[in-house]
Amino acid sequence: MNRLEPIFTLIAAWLAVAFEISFPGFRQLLGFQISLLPALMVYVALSSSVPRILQLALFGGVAIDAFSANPLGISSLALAATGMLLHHNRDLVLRDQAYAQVAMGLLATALVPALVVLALTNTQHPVGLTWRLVGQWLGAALAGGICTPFVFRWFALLNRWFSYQALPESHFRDTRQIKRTRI
Amino acid sequence: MLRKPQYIALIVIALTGLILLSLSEAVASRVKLGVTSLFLPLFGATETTQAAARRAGNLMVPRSDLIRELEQLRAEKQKLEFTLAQTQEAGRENERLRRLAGLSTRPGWKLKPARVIARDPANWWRTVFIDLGSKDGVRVDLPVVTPEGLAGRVSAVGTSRSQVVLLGDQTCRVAGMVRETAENGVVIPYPQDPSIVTLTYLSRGSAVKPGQTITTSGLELKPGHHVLTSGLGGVFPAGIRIGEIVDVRSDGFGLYQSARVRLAVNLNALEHVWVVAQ
Repeated sequence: MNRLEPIFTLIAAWLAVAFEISFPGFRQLLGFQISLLPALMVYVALSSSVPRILQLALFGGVAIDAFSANPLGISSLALAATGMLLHHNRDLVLRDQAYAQVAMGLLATALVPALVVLALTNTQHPVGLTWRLVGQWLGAALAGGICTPFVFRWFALLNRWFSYQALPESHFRDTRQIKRTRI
Repeated sequence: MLRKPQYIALIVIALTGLILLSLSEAVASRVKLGVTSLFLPLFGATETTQAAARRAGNLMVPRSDLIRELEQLRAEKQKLEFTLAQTQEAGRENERLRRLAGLSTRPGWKLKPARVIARDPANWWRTVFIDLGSKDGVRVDLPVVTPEGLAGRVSAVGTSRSQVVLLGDQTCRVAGMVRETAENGVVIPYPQDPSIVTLTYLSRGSAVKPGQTITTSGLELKPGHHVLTSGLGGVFPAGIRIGEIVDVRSDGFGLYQSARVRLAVNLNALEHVWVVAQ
């Protein structure tokens, strides 16, 4: 799985971006789009290395900005900052617990757009802060938090499929048995 | 404390981000359109899936329904043919009168159908991608419409894809006009509701007294009045429907009026649009 992990991360990022740009269901139903990249970043930050975080931040961020009116690269910076923050504190997080995954997903999904909006205030077209935007931000953060454990489950499944399974330890060793024979 | 690889990683990502952010708008736009090519299989798959779903749906429609619909369409076609004949006659008359009055002839619209293939993932922008590009004759700033009314304008053009900025986005401002009163204003976003825009800088609409110089129509703006493009901005041709007035309020310390306008087009459900090539 270690060699395949970068590829799986990129495929997952591609799928996350494809979902965001082509599935209008949540936008029509809830009034906002759900972002899966921060949830993916939580998984990568808590269970992988710094190069994987950068890879995801660069690819995912640039892909998101390519389909958006955001300046190119702004989402990469926000994703990378969030990923590095989580990676730096990963020893403090019980990453196998679902509630910890939800909490980290909620934090990341709230932090990424907040950082982007903050960075946009220094551009030609700053985003006007309205109650509607705050509502969308909270809703998207909640949805991102709920999605995060599913990302962990999905990668656990991939791990099971593509990794060598550890053999179960057995106390029986045929070569170590005392042969009781007549002296 | 951060370790050395983490410092290096932070420097690398910060530098890359800064380089990307410092690209000129034209280069960034080209890079963006290039990156969207990575998602070509998705667009193809979406089109194939939709076509398959349509085919499957067609197979399930009963023959009697199809015959009934065909008859309705035939009747509608005949009615539209009469309307078209009348309109063509009116057009010819308009052309003659314009020639007599010495006015230049108004060029007709050429509509190019396009499919919406992607939407802006950010909740604070309102843009979509369509499957027409420079090879189809699409240029920046061409209006994009639907049968219901104005949808937006083309903001960036690639070879086979273009980005369209929709009404209600802060970068899409339109010169609008109230059909009933001929008041001119500017359509700007209304951030609280995506289905509403604001028509602002409208004159106060005070009643005209005898002997007073008429600078405004003097008619009162009312909910239900229709808002169209005025053609004054030079980007959008005149007469495209934008929406209906919801309410009117005094603005700018009483210097002008603003009206909230409910958009005629449901921008969240856009699937097919037409690019207006003038």
